[in-house]
Amino acid sequence: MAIPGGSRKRVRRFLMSDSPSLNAVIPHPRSKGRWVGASLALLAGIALHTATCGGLLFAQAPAASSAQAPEVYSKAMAAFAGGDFVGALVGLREMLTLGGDGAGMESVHFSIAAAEFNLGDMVRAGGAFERYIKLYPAGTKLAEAQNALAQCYASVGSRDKAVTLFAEIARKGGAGKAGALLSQGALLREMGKLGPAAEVLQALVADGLQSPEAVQGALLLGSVEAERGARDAALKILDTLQGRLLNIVDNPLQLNALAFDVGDSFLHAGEFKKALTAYAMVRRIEELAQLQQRRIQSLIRKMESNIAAAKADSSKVAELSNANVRLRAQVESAKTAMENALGSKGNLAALRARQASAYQSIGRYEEAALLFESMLDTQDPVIREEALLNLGSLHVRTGLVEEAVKSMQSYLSEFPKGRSADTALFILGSQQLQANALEPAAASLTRLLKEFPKSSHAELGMFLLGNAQFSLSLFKEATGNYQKYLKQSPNGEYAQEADYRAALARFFLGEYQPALDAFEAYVKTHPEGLFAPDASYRIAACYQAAGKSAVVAERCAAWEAKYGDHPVAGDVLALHGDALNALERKEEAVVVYRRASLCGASDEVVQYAVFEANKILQALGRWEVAAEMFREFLAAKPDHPANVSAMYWVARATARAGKSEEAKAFLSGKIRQFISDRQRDAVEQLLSQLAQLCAKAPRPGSADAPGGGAPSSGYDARANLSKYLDLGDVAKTSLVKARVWFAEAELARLLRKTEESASALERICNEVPPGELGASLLAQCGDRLLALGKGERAAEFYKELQRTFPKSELLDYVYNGLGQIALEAGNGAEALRFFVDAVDKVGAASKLKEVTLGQGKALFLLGKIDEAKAILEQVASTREWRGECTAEAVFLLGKVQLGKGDLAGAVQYFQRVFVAYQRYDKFVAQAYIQAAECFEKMSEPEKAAAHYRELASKPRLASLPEVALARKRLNLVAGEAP
Amino acid sequence: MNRTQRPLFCAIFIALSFGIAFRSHSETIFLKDGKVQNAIEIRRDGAFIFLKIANSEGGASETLVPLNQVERIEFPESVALAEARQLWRAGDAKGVLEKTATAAISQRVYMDVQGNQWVDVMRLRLPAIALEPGPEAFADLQKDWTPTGDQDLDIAFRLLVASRTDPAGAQLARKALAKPGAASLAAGLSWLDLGEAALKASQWKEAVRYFLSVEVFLPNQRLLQPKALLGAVRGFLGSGERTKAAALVEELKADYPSTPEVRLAMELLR
Repeated sequence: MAIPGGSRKRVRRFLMSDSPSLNAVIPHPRSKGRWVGASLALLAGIALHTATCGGLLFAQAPAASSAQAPEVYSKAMAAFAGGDFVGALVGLREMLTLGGDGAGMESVHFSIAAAEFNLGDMVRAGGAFERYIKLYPAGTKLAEAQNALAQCYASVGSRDKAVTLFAEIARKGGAGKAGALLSQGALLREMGKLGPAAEVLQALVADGLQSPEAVQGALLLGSVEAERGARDAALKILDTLQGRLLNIVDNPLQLNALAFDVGDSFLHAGEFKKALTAYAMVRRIEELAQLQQRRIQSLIRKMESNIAAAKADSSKVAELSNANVRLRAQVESAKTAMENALGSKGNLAALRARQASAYQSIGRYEEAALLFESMLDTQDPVIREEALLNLGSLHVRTGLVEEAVKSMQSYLSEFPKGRSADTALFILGSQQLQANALEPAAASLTRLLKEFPKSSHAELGMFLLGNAQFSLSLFKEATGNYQKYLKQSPNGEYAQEADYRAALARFFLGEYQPALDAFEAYVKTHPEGLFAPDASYRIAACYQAAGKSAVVAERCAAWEAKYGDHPVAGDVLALHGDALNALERKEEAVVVYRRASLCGASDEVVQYAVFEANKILQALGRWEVAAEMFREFLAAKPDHPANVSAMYWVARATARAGKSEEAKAFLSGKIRQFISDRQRDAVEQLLSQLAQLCAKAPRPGSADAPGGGAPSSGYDARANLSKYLDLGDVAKTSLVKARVWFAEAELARLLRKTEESASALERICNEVPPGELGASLLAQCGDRLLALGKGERAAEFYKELQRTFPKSELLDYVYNGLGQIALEAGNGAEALRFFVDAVDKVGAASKLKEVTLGQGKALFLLGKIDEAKAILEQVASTREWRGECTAEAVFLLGKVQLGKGDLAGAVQYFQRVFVAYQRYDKFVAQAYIQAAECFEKMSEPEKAAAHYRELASKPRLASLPEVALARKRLNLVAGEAP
Repeated sequence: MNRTQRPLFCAIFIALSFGIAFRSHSETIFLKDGKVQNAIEIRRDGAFIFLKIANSEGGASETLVPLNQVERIEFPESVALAEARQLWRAGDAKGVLEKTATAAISQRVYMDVQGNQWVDVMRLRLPAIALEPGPEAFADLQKDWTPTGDQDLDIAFRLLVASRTDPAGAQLARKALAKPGAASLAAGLSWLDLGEAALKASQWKEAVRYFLSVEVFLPNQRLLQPKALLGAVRGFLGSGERTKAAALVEELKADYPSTPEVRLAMELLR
């Protein structure tokens, strides 16, 4: 069989080194090749049986001295033909004792040897064949006998003798040459003599693949070439055997085995593309089965053809019958091969794993991922487990964090106790950490340490768990894990970082003295360490916490001298500014803050520094410097999120410096620059500021006053706004028009022309489709329409805002608006969901008051009285929200008490509304009615009447429906005329 | 030598005594009565086959054989078909289409005779027709098509027909066929089509996955490779992964140097 035993070892070696876990997973393709041997075992008997029965035996019966001889002989051969080789031997040996001689006895000697051979006694068979050859040196079966003798030699370990004999047979040429060469080559290969084996096999295939032996030889040669490192030659042979020649390969599975061998040899040698070329020649089992099926059909057709031919010509019956015996054996062998092939699906996983390995090695991760994914299409848990683990590792390597997490979650869900569960947990935790999913990361790493404390990943897992806890602000827990890590691995890869992070954790815990000690220890141990600049900065910050501003200033100056433009320079400068500010060195502080604002690495630091400087400059009345600072900031940080604020401050500072026209011109320029851009929602803020500046008449005597100081009584704010909203050649799109109307609405609002303002905003709502507006106008139009009771139309604006500006800071308008609409429709559950989302998903920066009250109202609507009460009390007690919403919350608290049946308690809340929140007519009127009704229920008609009377007497509320109701009730309760 | 290897030698005995002859130049006609005829040329006329057989005088005579007496015919591999195989390896769909045209016509006549090469020709020709969608070649194919019995080819053919007559149904079929690890020609064609659709929708990653599936799972469908690699190059470029695109262009240049996809890919890369 052309399958080298040695290369199994090589493949395993490869798998061990490349992917240890695959070793147990992937059945070696070679193991599928064994069946060939098993199936052919049957043929040994048949082969020799046919060799004897179909040979000269019947034609040349031995000339025996005994009359019994023919009968003995016939019985012996019948036993042979029936596979009873022991019985055959008894008869054949008796033939020897009967003393027969002549040419016919040659068959007896040969058959004895053949029977021994078929019984597997190679020593006796060898002796018998030697005897035959000695007795009949020119015998008719000499070639077969020599061949069989060589096999016997090989079987009993006399390999050299076997090789010599095969070589002799081959030298003689003739029909046995090819077989002898093949056997010699196989034997040499088995003996590890790869060079000589290759030479012999090359001689066999030299004349082309014209015989089954040559094809078999080519397969074996390919394997030998691969094994001895002549991989290209092996690949060439493999390639030659593809295509049409595939049909003449006895067992195509052998070709697959060769493709694996050649591929593996390339893979092992690091020639990955060639390995892939070889692996591409591995045929699918289904395809091989189809080939075998065709081959079987062809053999059957040949047998049928032979039968037909025998019927037509009786002289050929014996010859054709023998041929059909061989054909039947071949059919059986091919069928067995096919059945075994169909049962060996595991080859596909082996192939995929190898291909994936090759692709990974050349950096073709997409292909490798496809292969691993395809391996998941199986029910075999072993393959699935390895595929999931490999896929996860691959995603980690390619930075596909989300995919890596999914793979590892699938792994742990399917194989919670899998043999790589610790690796899966480690990968999962580290990737979750990378994805900033801190709590899941901490959970995964905690599970790793708990379930697999002795895992090789435990040490690093501990450090990463510390990092996850650190990021979750669980500084105590983080410190504990860093310390454990440092104890286990004082010189570990992350020891320095753990050291630094442990100090930082203390810093964030507010334990400044221990933090200071730890940072100083770190800097001392690692003066040039990776974290030394940050540690030095934190040391200064610790002194700042201790109020030692002078030390801080000194440390910061020293830091700057040492580390210059290190990424934390902005932070250090900001801290330096704080220290100087605290030391009342204001001018110096401004200079340092301004530098911090320009070199800060984070938006927060930049913003902090520039606005701290601004505070000082305002206090010092240095408006021009402030304006200049913000202009400088805008030029240096054109995309900074604080730009709108900076523009605002440029305009404000310029105006405060007495140059309001210059400020307006500045704003006008910025507005013109951005007004057509739907994505710039800051434009509305600038328009508001411009309206604000235009609303104020220039102060008499100021440089901006018309006529250079003339009184400003004739000042026309609208004309002034129009002047600065002259957009020149800017296209007057719907968006631009809407924004101009918005500026006009703002101006009208500032000039207390409420109707005009509302009308301008409504014009936007009515004339500009939501799809044209920016986020800010969508939010404001939605709210306006909601206030007008046009909930359905308002929803269009809110939904457009949500769809087109999914990252807008104004999304809380959407949640609040949609929640109010749902509330209005009586859908408490939906409303509650919107209000909760407003807080949970977008933080409700602008609408916290409304959505909190909304939550209370929704809960009340849903009958969750106690939960509603808690929320409403929160609203009523929040000082910053004091106003109409407080009135409503207190009113609703009264309703809550009413719902509980506490009439007296309810009255207290209702009375609080009309006493403390008289400005809010709607709630005042309702509160009177509710209080009066409570008194009615408490059978206190006088008090009820007094409340109705008081409400009816308020001229400011006369137009409200509650007043009419009060009069009616007054009539009923006290008989007073309505 | 151990016991398990002994049977090898016995197998060789069988093969030796059996003897296999390989012919390469003329048709060999195996008759059901066991006779074998070697013909210089054969032609079919309805239910009969005319055999042109060389005679000892150097001339030829013609014999008529009823088709129902023919067990099988062994056809030699024609030069054109051998060339088509080479072009196939080079990924040249147009060349394959040209070179297999004659073989397709001649083998079509013997589709119902054992030993015909119709399936072999179609294995080369069907993907070529799918990739070089000239209406004539497809119309010819559709006119002459009878199921080959090769499931892979038959499904691919039905997919080709559906893509022209029932685009929605074809799209559903493509999605069903293009499963990870699928290894059929139909799956390969589906991946190419789905990849193109993903490119049009700017779904770069999806497109890359579709196209690379052809490379990974159907490495032996050589005609499909240039288009698949080019598609993957476009996908990588779309997602800004220029280095990966460049690597694939190099592969395209090395493995399919004479295909138009090489030029297109290089232009894209520029």
